[in-house]
Amino acid sequence: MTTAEKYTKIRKIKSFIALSLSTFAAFIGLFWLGFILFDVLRHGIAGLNWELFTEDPAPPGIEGGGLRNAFVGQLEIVFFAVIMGVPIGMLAGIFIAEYARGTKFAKTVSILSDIMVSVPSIVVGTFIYAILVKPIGHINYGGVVAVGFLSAIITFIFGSVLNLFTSKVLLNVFSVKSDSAVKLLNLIINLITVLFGVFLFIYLLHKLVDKIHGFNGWAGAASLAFIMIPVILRTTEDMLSLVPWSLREAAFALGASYYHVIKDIVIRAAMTGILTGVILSISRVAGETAPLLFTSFNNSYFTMNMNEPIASLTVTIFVYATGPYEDWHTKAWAASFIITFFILLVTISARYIIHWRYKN
Amino acid sequence: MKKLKKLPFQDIFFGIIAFSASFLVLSLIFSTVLVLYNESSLAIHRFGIINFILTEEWDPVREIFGAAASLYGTLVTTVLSLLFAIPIAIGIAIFLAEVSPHLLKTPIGIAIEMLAAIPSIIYGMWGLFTLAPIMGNYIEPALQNTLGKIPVIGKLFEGTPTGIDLLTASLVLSIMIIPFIASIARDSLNLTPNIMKESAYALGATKWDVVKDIMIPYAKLGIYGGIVLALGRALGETMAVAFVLGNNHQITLSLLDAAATITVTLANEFTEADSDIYLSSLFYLALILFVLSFVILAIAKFFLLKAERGYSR
Amino acid sequence: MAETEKIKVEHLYFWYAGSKKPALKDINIPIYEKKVTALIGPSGCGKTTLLRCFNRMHDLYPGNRYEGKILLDGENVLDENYDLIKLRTKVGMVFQKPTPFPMSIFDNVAYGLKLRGIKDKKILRERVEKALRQAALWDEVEDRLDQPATGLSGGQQQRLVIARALAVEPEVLLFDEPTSALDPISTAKIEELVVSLKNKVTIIIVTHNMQQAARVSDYTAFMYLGELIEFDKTDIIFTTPKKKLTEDYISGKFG
Repeated sequence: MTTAEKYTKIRKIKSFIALSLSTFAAFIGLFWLGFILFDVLRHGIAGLNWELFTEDPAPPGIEGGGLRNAFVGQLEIVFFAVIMGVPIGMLAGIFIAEYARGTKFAKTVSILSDIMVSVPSIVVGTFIYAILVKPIGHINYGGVVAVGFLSAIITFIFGSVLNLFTSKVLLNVFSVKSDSAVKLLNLIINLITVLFGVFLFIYLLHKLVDKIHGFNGWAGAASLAFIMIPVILRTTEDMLSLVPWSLREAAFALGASYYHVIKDIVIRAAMTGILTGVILSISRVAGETAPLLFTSFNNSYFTMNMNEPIASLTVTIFVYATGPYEDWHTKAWAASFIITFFILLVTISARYIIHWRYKN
Repeated sequence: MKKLKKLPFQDIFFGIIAFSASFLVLSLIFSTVLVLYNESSLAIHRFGIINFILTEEWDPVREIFGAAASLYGTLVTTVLSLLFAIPIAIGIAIFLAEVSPHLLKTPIGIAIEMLAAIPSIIYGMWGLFTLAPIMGNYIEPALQNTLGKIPVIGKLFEGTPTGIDLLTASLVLSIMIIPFIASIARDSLNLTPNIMKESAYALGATKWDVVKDIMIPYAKLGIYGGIVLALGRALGETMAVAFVLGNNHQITLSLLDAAATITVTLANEFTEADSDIYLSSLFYLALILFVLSFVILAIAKFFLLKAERGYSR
Repeated sequence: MAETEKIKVEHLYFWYAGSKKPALKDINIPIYEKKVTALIGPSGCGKTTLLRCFNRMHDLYPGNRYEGKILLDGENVLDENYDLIKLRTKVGMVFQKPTPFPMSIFDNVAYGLKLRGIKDKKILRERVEKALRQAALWDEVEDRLDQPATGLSGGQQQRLVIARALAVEPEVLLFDEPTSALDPISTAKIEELVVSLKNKVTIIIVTHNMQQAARVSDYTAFMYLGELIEFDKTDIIFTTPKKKLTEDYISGKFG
């Protein structure tokens, strides 16, 4: 028995050493995190001031100025990326999780989505460059799609408001009760909405989208959308699959159409998960640099015209950090601090919400 | 399709929209391949495949381009970063799965995930302004004075330690991918049924015995999948590496030399390319990287799917 | 013939983590050497909780608390200083579901032996064969010892687990509802096994199947709501129980 006792002692020592090493590894991980965050904080705060947000860049080498153009540009690019990426991702996710559930088509899209996710972001940049920057003279398709989604969303809101207005006010005020009158009214409303949408689209297209002249903001937004779409698609698909089939059956039994079942019941059940996925993917693309390098490029002047190269916070950090001026380095740190702060805030909140919600 | 006639209008309308969205997604991926191929075709025809991969020269002036230097850098940084990251990440996973007190599990887990949330450009900034000077002034000279004196290994540490080199870039990259491996490893380890662990304890096993003999074999496939996934991430990473790698299109043995990766080459030179063949060669690099990522993803999926099937038994 | 007490439980109380109410209240029970003692009672009565005290499985989960004594050969195993690993070499356990480790059949049975530093291949092979024979599994696996244990059927896996526990020659063997996940034929085989081990190892078996308890055990303890209601020779418990609660349970009035 003494061999067993001796061996057990060795095992206990081995266990202690191995588990201490794993604790040490955790410390190392936390150390890196602390080190990096501390540095960002230290350098970033030193460079923070109001001018950063209110002024545009000074000429190179001259101190002062701010990064207003970069902040606005970043927001605009991300905004349009979200307008394109979220609807496409969600709709496609809904299609393969609901209408095409279990089919080969659904599996194909799912697998291809995973491939899309793994495409290096800089390769996305080259792809978008080839279709939205290189074809000089062609209409900017990225802008067309973005404006299309923008008008669709505005029209949808318009239509819902109009519907609400009609049903609440007009029907009650004018006591219109007959069935055919209501149907006629509905038809008119829908027609108005559609016409509104078409005209809005044409108008916005004319105002916002131009021919391709080179680097442009639409391309930047498109490349970020490309990155977002598969992430949102898979999240939507996964979250919808978690909703038990019995929920849908109950709704079908009540005579609802599939569209209504999805809209009112299934999505509501999966909403938190889907929303969290959307928020997380937005925070992820907000920090991306590589795909913007040859799409929206950069611009030292302020512009909101998406048909031109447009400044973004991330590319500015890249240019300033690798540049020769001390002032540029300070500004790069300040911008890094702001980006990091917001992204971490969003990520932590999203994670805690998931943890909370799915604790059961 | 017979059912279509009985469906209410909304279903058809919404269905069509949703279908178009998924069709769009499909076409995006296919067009990516097609477009990349199309743009690289000039270079592919000029340089071929094997020749391009093996040529080290990258000369915009003489218009001779080869992927070897960039591929070498990509490979070295990726492999090295995995080497640095895997032990730490597995250690973290074991810590979170078995060692950590229950209350600390969530906060520390979230802290590790924060490492993944930090944008890669921040890693680049930190690497350039903080890590590189430390590497160049302290760590690398120290390595040269110790490991650098050993006959064969010493070759890895030759040259002037500037801090802008393969070693620093790999280190920064490794910190970035730690959370990817750690999360998946931790989740895989946690899938070991409690009753399995209890059976081992009941035989007189120590905690490390249980981790080593029961949990890790259980989690093996998942861990492989996680590592391969992290490999894919490291392969395609640009900004974390671009700040601290330099742009040296040469295959260099020493880790203390500047080098080039596909991603960094693209980032630095894409907007400067002034000739068609130059741009086409860059697209060629992008295509190669795309294919590499795809292959890596397929391998990762293989492991992860196999792991899943194993658990549902 | 005086029977020796292998284990004596004295005034045992047990609380699960975060719970004010004890899951076990003032348990006093002798476990006689080389006999089979069955713990029976309705769900939630504490029989598995009590079983897991004997090898201090509860210690794996922080916050659990014991009070009282469990004397194994006179020594209190609940004492802080009692070596848990030493305890588990003396007291083995078989669980509700078969738990084959992700390794070969041979390595499974040899696992406990390797933990004790036995490296000699000859000795290992001998002890593995001995344990597999004791578990009535040898004939079925002797020509495929290197294959993964997960390839065996449920009943075979459970016998493998028993062989694994027997290989280290424990003095006490704990069975936690060992046949609840098995088909009737495998169940019968396991019951035969338990009976065959009777005069070699002290056995404590938890079962929700009263007929099983009547078939295999020498002594039976009936528990209810964390308390020991009655303990006696098995035939007495099942024919002339002293407490009304016991009689009601045996006759199927509840549980």
